[in-house]
Amino acid sequence: MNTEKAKAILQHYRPPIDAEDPRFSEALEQVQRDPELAQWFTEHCASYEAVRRALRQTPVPAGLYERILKAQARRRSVRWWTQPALVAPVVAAAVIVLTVIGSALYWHRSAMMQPRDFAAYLQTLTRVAAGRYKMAIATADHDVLRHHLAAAHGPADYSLTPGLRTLSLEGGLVLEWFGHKVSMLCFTQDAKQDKDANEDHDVWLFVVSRDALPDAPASDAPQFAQAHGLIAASWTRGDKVYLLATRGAQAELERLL
Amino acid sequence: MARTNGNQRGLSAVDFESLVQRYYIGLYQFALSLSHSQADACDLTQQTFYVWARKGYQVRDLTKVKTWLFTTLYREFLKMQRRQQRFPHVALSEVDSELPTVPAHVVERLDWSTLVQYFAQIEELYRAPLVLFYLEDHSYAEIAEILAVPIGTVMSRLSRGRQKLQALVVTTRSQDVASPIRRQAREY
Repeated sequence: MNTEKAKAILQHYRPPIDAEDPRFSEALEQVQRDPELAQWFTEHCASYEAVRRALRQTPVPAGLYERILKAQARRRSVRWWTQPALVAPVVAAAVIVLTVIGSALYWHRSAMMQPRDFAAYLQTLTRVAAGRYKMAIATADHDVLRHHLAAAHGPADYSLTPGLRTLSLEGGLVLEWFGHKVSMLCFTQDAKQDKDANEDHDVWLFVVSRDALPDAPASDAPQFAQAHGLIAASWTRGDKVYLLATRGAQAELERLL
Repeated sequence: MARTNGNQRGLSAVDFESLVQRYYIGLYQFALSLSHSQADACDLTQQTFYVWARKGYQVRDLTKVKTWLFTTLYREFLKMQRRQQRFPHVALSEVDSELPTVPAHVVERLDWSTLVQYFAQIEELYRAPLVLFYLEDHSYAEIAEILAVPIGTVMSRLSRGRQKLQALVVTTRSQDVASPIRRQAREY
């Protein structure tokens, strides 16, 4: 590289900003070997520094900094919605609120559309009995159970059939059917009376106000049905609807009425 | 002025006040050198930070903030000038042989107001790269990005600009030598 070529390159060199720029490397090495170029380069750097220094001494009008901040504060207070950092949380909150409202409406609509007649009642409660449930109180004493059911606002003044009085009470709980409380009584049959000791001996009695089921059997003559592997009998006595369920044959159930 | 640190954090963490404090002087000096009007320079500086407040969140890389601000100011200046004419690009090879070097002993006497006057007399095409060349610590790649031209074009415009600056300095110096009264810094 000759002197003129090196000058052509180094005329753009700014100390120390371009010190690491590889496009100047070779020309800078040339400076070390070429006295004439070195003298020109010293002059070039001094000239650059002098102009830069003078230019950077340009004073800034007093109050410009404060004016910029004040203008920004005014815009922020008026136009916060143009700031993505502020808009994003608001949009996220709105989405969450709308999702919750939408879910609630969907749930409410589904609940409103769910059938609430006696057939649905029979299906629902036999599914509860055949499935997993947890008694709220375990007791063999009907007075204790009635007290608990009354406290939970469930029907407590139920009447038992002669057959049910022979069974052992295990406990009970209160369920809800579209705003109406349902008392669930759990019994077990004495195994010694059965032919097969391994047979399932559980018996369930559900009691609900007649108002809850306008289409329930109107008389106290039991009507039998099967659901979820259980045999069920239902009847109305006074202002209450009774549903009795167990595993086994209809005869098994008739024996308990 | 300190160089922008290579911080890769999200820009949401950038404090507006700190940003203004760090860059407003350099931006004002750039604006004044471009517009040679104090009022216009203040407006351009404020407008730049206004644009930042509206669109700055788009900048994901903190190392680009400084270039972004200078680019924005330059664009705002061009808008202000209502320039419609496209600038011709001049290849570096065309000006390689022209090696303007303003003598150091001459420029040592210059003050900022005289320099701003000189810049005002240089066409804007050469003025913007010249100011960026002297004023800030921008790399050539950053200057090219700010001006939206290739690096080769930046180099060639710089050569032309410095040649014009040298001519202005030499001419003024001749007049100063001829006159016993030193020129006073003029209002800009």
